[in-house]
This record gives sequence, structure tokens and C-alpha cells, in this order.
Amino acid sequence: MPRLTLIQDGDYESDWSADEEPKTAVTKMWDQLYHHREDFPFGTRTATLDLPPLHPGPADIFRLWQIYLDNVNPLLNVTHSPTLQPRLVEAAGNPTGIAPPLEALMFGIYSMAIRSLSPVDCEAAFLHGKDDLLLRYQSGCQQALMNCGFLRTNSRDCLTAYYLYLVSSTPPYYFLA
Amino acid sequence: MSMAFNTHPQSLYVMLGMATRIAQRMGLHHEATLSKYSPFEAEMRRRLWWSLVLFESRIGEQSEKGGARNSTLSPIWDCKPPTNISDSDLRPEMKTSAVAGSRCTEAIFSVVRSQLADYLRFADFFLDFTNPALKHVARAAKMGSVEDGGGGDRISVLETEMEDKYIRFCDPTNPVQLLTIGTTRTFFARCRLLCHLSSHAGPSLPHMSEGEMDTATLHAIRMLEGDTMATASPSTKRYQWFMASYFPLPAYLRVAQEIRARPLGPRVDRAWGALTDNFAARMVFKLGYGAGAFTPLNRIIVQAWDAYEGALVREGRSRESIAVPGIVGQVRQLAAEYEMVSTPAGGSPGTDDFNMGFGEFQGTGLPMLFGGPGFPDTMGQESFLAVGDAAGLGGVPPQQAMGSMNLNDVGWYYSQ
Repeated sequence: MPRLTLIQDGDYESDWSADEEPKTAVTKMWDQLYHHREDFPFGTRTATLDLPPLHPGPADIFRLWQIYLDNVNPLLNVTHSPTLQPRLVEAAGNPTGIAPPLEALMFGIYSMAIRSLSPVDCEAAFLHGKDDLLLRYQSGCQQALMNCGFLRTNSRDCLTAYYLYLVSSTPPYYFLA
Repeated sequence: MSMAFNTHPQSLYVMLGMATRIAQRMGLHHEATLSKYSPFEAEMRRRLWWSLVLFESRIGEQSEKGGARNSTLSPIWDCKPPTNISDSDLRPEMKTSAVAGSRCTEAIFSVVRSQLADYLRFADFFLDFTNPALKHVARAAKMGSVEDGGGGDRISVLETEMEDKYIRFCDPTNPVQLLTIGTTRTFFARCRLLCHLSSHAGPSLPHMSEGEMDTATLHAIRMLEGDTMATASPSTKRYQWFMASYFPLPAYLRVAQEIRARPLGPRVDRAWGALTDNFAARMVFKLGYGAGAFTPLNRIIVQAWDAYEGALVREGRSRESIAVPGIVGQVRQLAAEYEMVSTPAGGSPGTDDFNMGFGEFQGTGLPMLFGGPGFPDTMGQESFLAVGDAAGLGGVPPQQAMGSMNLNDVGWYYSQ
């Protein structure tokens, strides 16, 4: 329900946010803490990301897969390991020829694996900061999802990838609720 | 620490809505559509649907009232919960539907969680918040089964069922199974707490008696104890990324209220113990995530301590002789690290942080019955404010204060 703001003569700086519900203190806290990534899924990034260089090397792909199996898969339970693993093996050997839904899923798995690590453990395992790697793999996931046309998709792999992307974007704070 | 890629919960909630819409367009929520796929594919689709719905519900709760109310977790779709089966037994070439394994498979955590949510989406006390109009749909769908009614009996029936089917087979030395045991215990304690509060608390309902307050506190303590079981062990640290989204704040609030209201009461020692153990297990702030999320918790604990210490001093104890509970020490240390100033307890309602704290938590949880019968849909009414002494509430009689609790704080997240 909009609140009417009394506008004095000559006062042209009325607060048009008055028609919004007042924000709770927690929301204000979030606003300060989190960036608003509004560009995805509208794709305002001008250059299309080239994906093959963004994949980790084969050894790291398997380490990330193993981390995903240990830390993530038992809780989310959205991938089938016996059928997915051979597909990863094949894709790791040929990063330029991966079908878009599988590629999106791979980046989703990388993102979730990194997300599940503490910053210290990530640095120790991969020699890069957690935020840097998360940004890299989530960007790859976004691009791969766009390559899939994910909004129109009927592919379970593609939807699973989008889901993993979203979970990996969850704020890390204990959200007091 | 930079925050390069952490999405604001409200944006995340909307994007999750897109994922849910895609899933619905694909018919993942609909058994009739799923039956057109191979048994393997259908099962994989069920898994994805349920995982998505559970996550969306949780983020929705953190996105203010509207998000909590609009949950996809509702009785209007019929996708069955995932089957209790390990990946090795689920094969693409299977011709018949997956048969549930007995006891604990690899899927145990998501299976149990989904079944608990599958109960909840038909439960009156859940629908009273999210969408009361759907209660008719829920009852029609559950024709012939026990009417939920006050909820208490049905919760015990479900708890016994889960215990018999799964929990008693869970091995605490297995990290996933330990997580399952602890989160399930927390779930049932929370259900009972919310059921109890929904029938006893609020301005138009009878105030709670001391016995009823005590029951509410006991449920909250059990929530903390269940959560501690799930999070204290080093073996479950790998799941911290997940458990971070399920901090049991409503339990902290309720227990701290108890200490503040009845600092010499019979539950106090167990209350301090439960708070201390959970805080240590959660190790929230040792992860260096910063002062922002810590501030409200700091206030709650400090004020509970002040009330407790004050009551003991009035009883004749010397300050030095009072043992300081672990959590108070930890909170003080963190406050010093973050260079926060502890706010004093008491004062007028406008400055009393316990009261302000509740107003601030408005919308962070899924307020039980908020907006439902008898509850005006406004923010942070004084009458909802926490138990406290008369001084803290500016003249509200203690008796009335004791009976009310701000249900806005009792966040409703089922999926543990």
C-alpha cells in the first residue's frame, strides 16, 4: 500500500521508495553485504566467454569431482555417479567438444565443489583463492547455460546445472532465521 | 574477505523461481508426466524436483514474508519423494521402478528430508502460514488418513515412523547418517515448538501458563541439542556449507527468553549448556564471516546474561562466584574482536535491544500464523515482544509479557 508523502511546494525530491514496504534490518544488512548480480540471466556481458580455457586441468577436474562426491552429492542427491563419471572422463580428455548441457553440469559441479570448501582448504588444494575460483567457475556455468538456451531447455542435465549454479550462489553467512 | 560472488538472497529467490518454472514446464512435479519416462529417468527427475523445492523453500523463508508464503512446497503437486536407493542400484536400463532399499543407503539424507517435507506440505499448521486456502486441497488429497488437527499426535506418529524406517539404522560414525539423525531430531523439536506456540501464544489467544512456557523452552532446547549433534562432530564439518543456511536462531531466541524471564528457573543450567554447546559446534564466527550477522545474537546473549547475573546477585550471590557460561565468554570475545559495544539490558521499549531485536527479525523467518487468525499483519508490535521484566518493557505487566512470544522470530524451516 503506497504511503502518501506530503510534498511541500518546491520539493521535488519526494522519496518514491515510499511505496515499498520498509526494509527490515536484516535486508538492509544483506544489501550492504552482497553484490547484486543482475546481469545474469539477461546476458549483458558483451563478450561471450570461451569455455575450454576455463575448465581446470584433468587432474583438478577429478579432484573437484571427488570433493563434490564427498561434500555435496550426499546432501543434494541430484546426479548419478556411475553414469556421470565416465562422461566426465571423456570430457576431461576433450574440453573443446563437450555438449553444452554436460559442460554446464561440469561447471556447476566445479562451482559446488569450491563452494563447499573453506577458503583455507581451497587455497591449500588449488593454490587459488576461493572467491576467485568460484567466480571463474560460476561464470563458466552462466555461459554454458546460455549456450544451452537454458530457459527453453528440456534437458535434465541443464536444469541440474542451473540448480547447482544457484546453490553455489547461496550467501555464506549464517542466515539467522 | 571479498564477496565476489555471493548473491543477495532476494535475487537468489527469484532466480530459483525460474528454475522451479523450468522444472514445472518439464513436468518434474507431476507423476503422470514422470511415468512417461524410463524408471531411471523418472527417479532422477524426482530427486531433482525435491532437492530444488527444499532449497527454494529455505531461501524463500529468508526473503521476507512474501517469499515464505509463496513456497512451492504445497499440496498441489504429486511428485513422490525420492526412493531410498543407492546410485549403484539405480540403473538406466532398469525396466521396473526402483525398489526402496531397507535401512540406510547413500541417499538417506535427502530421502528423510524429502519425506519430512512431504508431510509438512499437507500439515495444517504449515499451511496456516503459507497458504491457508490450500488446506482444503491438502485434506482432499489425504482423504482417509488421520486428520492433522492440532498436529501434536500426527507429529509423534511421523516421528515413530521415521525412527522405525530409518533413524534407528543410522550409524553415528557415518557422517551423512549422523547428519540425518541430528537434523531429524531438530526438525521434530521445531515442529513441536511451532505447534505449541501456534496454539498458545499471541495477543488474541490465551497467554501461556508457566507450564506451557516450560514446554516451549524444552522444545527449543531439544532443537539446539539436535543441531549440536549434527554439527559438532569433525566428521560433519564437510557439510558446513549446507548447514550454514540452517542456523537455529529461533531456538536461541526462545532459550534466551527463558533465561531472561526465569533466571532462577529449573531449566536454566540446561539452557546455558545447550546454548554453549551449539555455539561452539557451529563455530560460526571463527570462520571470519564478520560482525554483521553476529550483532543480533550478541545482544540476545548479553541481555540474557545480564538478567541471569542480576537475579543471582539479588539472591545474595557475589558476582565473582557466578560461573560464566561458555557462550557468554565466547560472545564477549567475539564482540571484542569486532569492537562492538555491548548494549545494556532494560530501558524503554524503544531502546531495549531484546525488543528491537525481534522487530528486526521480522521477515527473516517463516512466522507461524503471522497474518492468520487473530494476528494483525503489522511489524513488530510491542505486544509481541519478548518476555522480560517490567522495566524492560516499560510497564507491561510481567504476567502478560510472559505469555507472549514474537512468532516472527520462530523461523520455520523444516528441512533438516
